[in-house]
Amino acid sequence: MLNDLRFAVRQLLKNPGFTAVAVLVLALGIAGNIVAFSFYNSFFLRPFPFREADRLVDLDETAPRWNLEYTGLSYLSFDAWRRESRCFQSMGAWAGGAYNLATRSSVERVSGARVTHDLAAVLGLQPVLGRFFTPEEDRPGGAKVVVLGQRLWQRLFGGADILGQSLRLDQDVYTIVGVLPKDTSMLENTDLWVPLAENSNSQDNWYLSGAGRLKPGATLAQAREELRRVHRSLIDQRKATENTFPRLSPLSERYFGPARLVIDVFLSAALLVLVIAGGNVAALMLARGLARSREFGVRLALGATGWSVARLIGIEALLVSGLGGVLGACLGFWGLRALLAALGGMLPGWLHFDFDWRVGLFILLLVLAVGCLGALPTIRSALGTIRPGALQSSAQQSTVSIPRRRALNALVVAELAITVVVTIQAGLLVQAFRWLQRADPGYRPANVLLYELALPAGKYGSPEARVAFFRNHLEAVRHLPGVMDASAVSAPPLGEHWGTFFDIEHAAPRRPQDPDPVVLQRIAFPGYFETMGIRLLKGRTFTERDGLNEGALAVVVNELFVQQFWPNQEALGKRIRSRGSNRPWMTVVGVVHDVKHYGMDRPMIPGVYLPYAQMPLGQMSVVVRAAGPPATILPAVRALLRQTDPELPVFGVATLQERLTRSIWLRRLYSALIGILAGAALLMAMGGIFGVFSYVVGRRNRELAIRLALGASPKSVGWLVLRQGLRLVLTGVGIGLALALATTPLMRSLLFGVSSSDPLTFGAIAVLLGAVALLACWVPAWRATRIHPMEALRCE
Amino acid sequence: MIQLRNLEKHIDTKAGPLYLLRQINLDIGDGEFLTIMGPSGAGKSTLLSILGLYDHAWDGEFHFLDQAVHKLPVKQRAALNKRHIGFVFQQFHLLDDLTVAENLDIPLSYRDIKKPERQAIVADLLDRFGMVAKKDLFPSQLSGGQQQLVAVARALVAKPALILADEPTGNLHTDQGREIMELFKKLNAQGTAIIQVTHNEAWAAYGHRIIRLRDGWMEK
Ligand SMILES: Nc1ncnc2c1ncn2[C@@H]1O[C@H](COP(=O)(O)OP(=O)(O)O)[C@@H](O)[C@H]1O
Ligand SMILES: [Mg+2]
Repeated sequence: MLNDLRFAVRQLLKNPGFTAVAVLVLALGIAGNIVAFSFYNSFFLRPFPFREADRLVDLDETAPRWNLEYTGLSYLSFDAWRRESRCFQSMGAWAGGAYNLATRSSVERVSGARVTHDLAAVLGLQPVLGRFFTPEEDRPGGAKVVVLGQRLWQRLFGGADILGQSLRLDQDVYTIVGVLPKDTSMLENTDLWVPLAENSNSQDNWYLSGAGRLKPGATLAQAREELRRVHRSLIDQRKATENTFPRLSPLSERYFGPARLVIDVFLSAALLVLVIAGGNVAALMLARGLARSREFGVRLALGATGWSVARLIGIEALLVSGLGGVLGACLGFWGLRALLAALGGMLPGWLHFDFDWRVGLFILLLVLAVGCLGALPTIRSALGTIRPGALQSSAQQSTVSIPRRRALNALVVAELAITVVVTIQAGLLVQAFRWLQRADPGYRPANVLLYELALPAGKYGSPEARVAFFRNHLEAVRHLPGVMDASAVSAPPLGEHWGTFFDIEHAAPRRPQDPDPVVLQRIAFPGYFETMGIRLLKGRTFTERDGLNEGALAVVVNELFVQQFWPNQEALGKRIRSRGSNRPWMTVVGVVHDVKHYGMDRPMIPGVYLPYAQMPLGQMSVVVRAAGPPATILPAVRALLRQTDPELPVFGVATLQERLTRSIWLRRLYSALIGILAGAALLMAMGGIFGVFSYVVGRRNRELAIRLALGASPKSVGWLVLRQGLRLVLTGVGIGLALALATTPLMRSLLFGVSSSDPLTFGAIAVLLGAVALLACWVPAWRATRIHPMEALRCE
Repeated sequence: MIQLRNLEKHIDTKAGPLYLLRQINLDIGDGEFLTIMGPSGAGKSTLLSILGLYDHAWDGEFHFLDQAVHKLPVKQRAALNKRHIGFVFQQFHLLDDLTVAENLDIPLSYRDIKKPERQAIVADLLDRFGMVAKKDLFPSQLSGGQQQLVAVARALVAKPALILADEPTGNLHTDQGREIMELFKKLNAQGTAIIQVTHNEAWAAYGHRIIRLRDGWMEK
């Protein structure tokens, strides 16, 4: 055994070029796989950081009739479910939000969540300091208490014991009762928590996220069945609407489900690349094994058993794959670190990517698999030399024997086919990304700055005060140098969802089975559409007089709203009102182009804009169109605000372009990653094809020389070789295209505007790969034309 | 048929030029049967591949069928070779993956001859060599003598005026060797010029004339 190892090392050192190429190629493949698998591992294999995470269930509601998969959880449903459920040990709910936090020196905006008292128990969280909330605190009118996140605690108080101290949030004073640990800071990045303290009669407001912990032994199916019953009785008692139903899923699936397809595609591409790398090792081993068939023959003739020859080859292959594994692991972990650094804050803080036994096992299996696969064809062909007379004839053979040539050809074809599949996957993703980039967002994002202001209820209690503040602020901003226009909106594109329902005047009464789509409601100042560059299709935009009194209640709707409610009718002049008891009618004064509110890759829904005077909210996003790059405007805005209200923090500052770029950033990243994998696959496959083909042609040297001696022209010999390559290339590309056609529909949901059999991508990649592969064959063919027949045929 | 005047060949080595052939002056008449002899490494094969117009890196004058080969571009030399020369190797050099008939067809396939005509020529040749029964066998299924017979037939298939044979019997038993030599004798009688290299005095005697090479020089 040790002897075999020593011999294998000597063999590898004897061919440093071969060894280096094989190891390097393999290392690349393994590195890609380590990156992909680490993501897979962290997202799906490692348990959630919560205690007994497999018993955690996401609680939500769904409303097919409103065309909503998730509505969010209403407190009424949550409260009833929590009371009546027997399957769950505990249930908790929360709503995200933000607060103006007054510190000694200034006011800052922090993210906070309102939570039910039982949430910590559901997630199994232990405060590092103090306690979580009591049921009494989680009631309307309960004590104002707050639990801090470890990060905020460290930042503000340096980790001092601050229990019982007070904190000013949005004008109210809260008592600090506890601190929660950092990494497990719930499911979203939050700085602090306060009790939800919701009224249990609160209905028709689906704004909560929920999580439950199943009792030991209870299954998700039982829980679903039970909550359906509980909810049914709520409906029967006319407490809940009949439009929503419980929607339960494993917590990890709810949070990582959307990432699954991306990671699956990435992982499968990485594995395919590895197969190519393994194929290369196999091809190179095989090619060299053929050159060594005499050695194997001699060993066998001298009494070696088949097993001992197989072991010899196996050890050599494992040595190559082991070296590749070590180098690949270094490359892979380095790449992973770089990638995570690039991802920055995009990933939840409690996801970990450090080395664990799963990653170790994965690498070990890869190395073993590649080693065995790499050795197998060579072992098969070596054992073939046991045939009597094989030893004598091997020197006389003019070409590689047919079965061995077949094995090599099959490798080349397989590598090429797999490369086609990976490259087409990557090509489609890149096409989809370009499609997204080119798609019309519905507004002009260039040179628009955006920031948020939240007026505290105490100081700006009256609607008039709020209207006055924003009107004055916008007027002042419009007069800043470099500003072309300014306005404000409750939710800019890629902002929050605020769904409402509207009644249409003179509409036929809705039957129970009719769809009742939810409508996106936004509140906007005059000048909003102009500032954003949202096209007006009909009628007019808002003026200062809209919404000032009952007679001037106005609304601007989007195209989808018109399509939904007044198909083939004139929308201008129609009246709608918010559903509920006797809200006033509003007149449609304009129709505007749809904007991609939920993301470039998400569908839009019907939407309306109301004038600010009709609903003067405290928190608004200000949008400013500048003449040039808008970053320079911000200092002037801050200076303005310092004069008017120094206690008002400016937050959520970003240009529209930044928001848009950020929204497709993850997609850009994984498209690029898979593109890199495809590039690696291409390089490796070309290397493999070149190597194998050169070898096969080299073995044909004598045959080609004979043909030349018998009158063949160099050109015809070159063609002979090239034709052989062409056959392989066409077969490989053809099989690859068929495989791609069969598998790309699986990734359809990542492709939006691009067809999964996009002829441009398929065609371009077939041509590209065919051309590159032919180039790899062309070199050996060209060499064949330069054979000197008599020199090649001289007997040594 | 062939006139060589002061033909020389050298290769360049680190230590300077190394001469493989020196001052070769040789006249070969139409229909002659010439034997070249000499110890191993004397330059016999080198001379044969020059005569066969495979090797172009030499100096001196070489007239072949009234053409000044030394003045011809490489392409036309290859054309001359194709039209007039057949070559028999010591190692036979048949193609293992092709049948006897297919091996015979190779030279024709490179000579602009129509398929039916080629088939007729091959069939005729198989008949003449008494190998009709073996036409679909592969070389590995034949004895060494039979393989060389096929190789000679292949050299003849394009009806060359000159056959060059480099130790054609070197890998054969005496009986098989004699069969090949008798065949050469017959071919020569039918007008084909033959130049053979051999170490065997008996086979050498089949030729009209023997020249001897030693270290690249022709012995007088
Ligand atoms: N291309 C070449 N490069 C180096 N040495 C050569 C070459 N061709 C022939 N030789 C050498 O020239 C000498 C004559 O070779 P060759 O003609 O094959 O001899 P023969 O056929 O008489 O045995 C030998 O020593 C051989 O090694
Ligand atoms: Mg020789």
